[in-house]
Formats: sequence, C-alpha cells, structure tokens
Amino acid sequence: MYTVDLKTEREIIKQAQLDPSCFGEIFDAYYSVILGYALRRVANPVVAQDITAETFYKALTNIHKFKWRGISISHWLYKIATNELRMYFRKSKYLPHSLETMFEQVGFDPIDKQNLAEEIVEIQSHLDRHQEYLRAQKLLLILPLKYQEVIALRFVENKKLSEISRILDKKEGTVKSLLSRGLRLLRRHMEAQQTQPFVSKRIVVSAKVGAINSNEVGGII
Amino acid sequence: MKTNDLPKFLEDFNLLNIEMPVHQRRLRQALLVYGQNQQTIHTPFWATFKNLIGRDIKSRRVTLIGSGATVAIVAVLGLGLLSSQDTPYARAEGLVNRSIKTMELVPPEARARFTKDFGRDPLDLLEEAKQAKDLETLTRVEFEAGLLKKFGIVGTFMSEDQGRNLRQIRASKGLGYTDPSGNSVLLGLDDNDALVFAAGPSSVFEDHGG
Repeated sequence: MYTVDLKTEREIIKQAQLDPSCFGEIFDAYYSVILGYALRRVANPVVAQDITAETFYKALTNIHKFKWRGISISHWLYKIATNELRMYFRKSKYLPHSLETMFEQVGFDPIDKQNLAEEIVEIQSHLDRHQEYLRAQKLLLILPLKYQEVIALRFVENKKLSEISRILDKKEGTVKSLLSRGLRLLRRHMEAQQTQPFVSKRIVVSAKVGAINSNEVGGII
Repeated sequence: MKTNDLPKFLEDFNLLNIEMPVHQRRLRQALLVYGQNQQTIHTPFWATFKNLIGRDIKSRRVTLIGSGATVAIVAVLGLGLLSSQDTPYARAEGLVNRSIKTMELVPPEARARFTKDFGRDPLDLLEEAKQAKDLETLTRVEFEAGLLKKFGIVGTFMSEDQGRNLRQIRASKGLGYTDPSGNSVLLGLDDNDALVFAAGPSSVFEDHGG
C-alpha cells in the first residue's frame, strides 16, 4: 500500500481540488483501505468493489467541498463508504456506479486485458478459506446497523473512539454506549446460538435478521 | 468461538487484507478520465474560490483585501526572484544536469532498455530538454496529470509480455518542455534523478499508456 504523510496529503488535496486529474494520488493511498473495509463488512468481492468505486466516485466529484481540518482524508472516505454500506444493507436494490458504468460514461476502453472476473473468483476462494471470519461476519449482520458500524470500525478497522465519532458524526459518548450495547447484544446472540438446538436456532436468527436469508444465516452459525 | 473472547476474535478480522490490483488499476483509469472530463464542464477554480471567500460579507471583504495584498506581495517578490538565479527555469536546468550525470553512470544495458521501451536515447532526450526554452520541473502529481491531459496516459505503466501484464514505473518528479517541432514532451524521473519514463510525439510512446 502506498502511504502519504499529513503534510503531503494536504498538498495533494489542494492540487486535486483545483485539478481532478491529480486525484490519483489520494486514490493510490486509500484504495486498499476502503476496499478492505467494504469487503470485511459485506464478505462479497463484487459488492465490495462497487462500494469502493462509488466511494471514490463521490469523493472525486465532491473533492472541492472537502475542508482540511488537520486530519487525514481517510476519515472522510470512511464516512462515504459507511454511508454506501448503510444504503447497501437497507435497500434491496443498491445501484452504485460500478466500474462498467463508469467506463461506459467516460467512453474508455482499458488496454489492460487481464481478467477482472478471475480476480473476483480468486478473492472469493480466499474468503471461503476463512470460515471463522465468515461466521463472525454473519453474526454481526444479525445486529442493527448502528451496532454493526461501531463494532466494525472499533474492532475490525482498529479506529479510536474519536475517529469513529468523526466518521459517524456522533458524540464520543454515544459511540461508547453503542459499542457497549452492541457487544452485549452480540454476546447474547452467540450464547443463544451455542445453547439452542439447530432448528430453533434457525428460527430465532431468521426472525432477527429480517431481510437476510434465514437459511444462509442459520446454516452457517 | 467463546463469548469472552469476542473483542479478540473481532480484532482477528483485520488480518483479512486483500489486494485487487486489476480492479484498482481500472477504477483509477475510469476516475481520472472522468475527472478530466468533468473539469472541462465545471470550473474548479471558481469552486475553490467560493470556498475561500466564505459565507458572510465581513469575512468576504477581509478575504478580498487579504487576497489583493497577497497578490501585490507575490508580484513584488516574483519580480525580485526573477532577477535572481533561483528561477523555475534554473531549477529545471539544474535537475536536467543532475539527471544527465546520473544517466551517464547507469549501465549501458539499462540505457538500451530505456531506448527500446521509449524509442529515444535517454541522454538525447535530456539534452533536448536542456535546450528547450520552456523547460519546467513538475511534481509527481503534476507529471501524472500532464500525462493524462496531454497524452491520455493514465499512470506510468509499461505493457509487457505482449500486453498481458503491466509493470508500474514509479516516477517521483518530472520535467516538461516543448521539443524543436513544437510538441510537448514529459519526462519522469525517479528519486535518484534517473530518467525512467518518457511521453512525447513519437508513435513509440503511444503504446505505453495505461
């Protein structure tokens, strides 16, 4: 991953605000961070790619509105990505700017002939090898979104409370209590699933997940 | 999975770090081309200027007075600087000279490889740059933006294995000038001032865009 210090980052943002062709540097520095965040939340490489594409598309088109406050632009990108994830989890049909639609819009035909589909298959098989992660990810999905977000940002992305507060536009105290309630709820779900027989467990879980397919959740946990 | 291990267990999530270079490269291309198209529609300078001015009249007036004063100071300082040796051209010329010295020391096979990749001998290009009246230094960001705007090249990639793979060349700064035929030429230099990338009017340059 390509990294930049805050001073350089500020200069790059200034240049990108005047000339969007300079946005590449910001993209290089944070592409993996945002893709990783999206992928760890959704466990689906195609959706993660779309969320990443939409995040950077929105960042590019709104870069002139970004105001430097002495903190990395990564928090702003996390905020956009979190909103995108929220929309993805709430809407049955999430229609982001996928890479294909972007290429259509700009009328651009990439010279790179390497197959994007092969990369997706490779990532999917990589995910499949991490069954423990997939179990935990499904378990997190049972929780209401507000808890999923704070838990993912705190424990998965290793963000400090102050950083989560900035990303979610919530007071630190609120983040702390959401975190504590979310963890309590998550523990309760885990305990319930460890003690109940499989059939009733499936019913309990499916009743709580709402839109999520009950077979998918009950079968894995 | 034990419930008291929960925070530790969640922390293990972040071990799942995944790279998707093909998607990354293509998304970068799409965004930069899109950004360039948008620039012709909007006026980013006005957008930035609007942010600079702020919302209330008082701060707007202060900002305008401040901007006027700054312009005057910059003009005076600029005239002073132009009379000294530390002009942008002198800095660019210094960089070309350093690059020539570096390129004279690189092994002949490395020079031959550059010539094969870009169709011009690196020392010839640097000598041509040295003669140009509009020679200027570019930051890495300016260099990449110039590649995109002037040549439609996104990033400093070289195609290899008959186009199956792309190798990225990291240029940390650049030089820009107009050649004797009136065409723009951009040169990419690495941290040691070695010439590593070139884009110009010759058809051999056109195959290397990403």
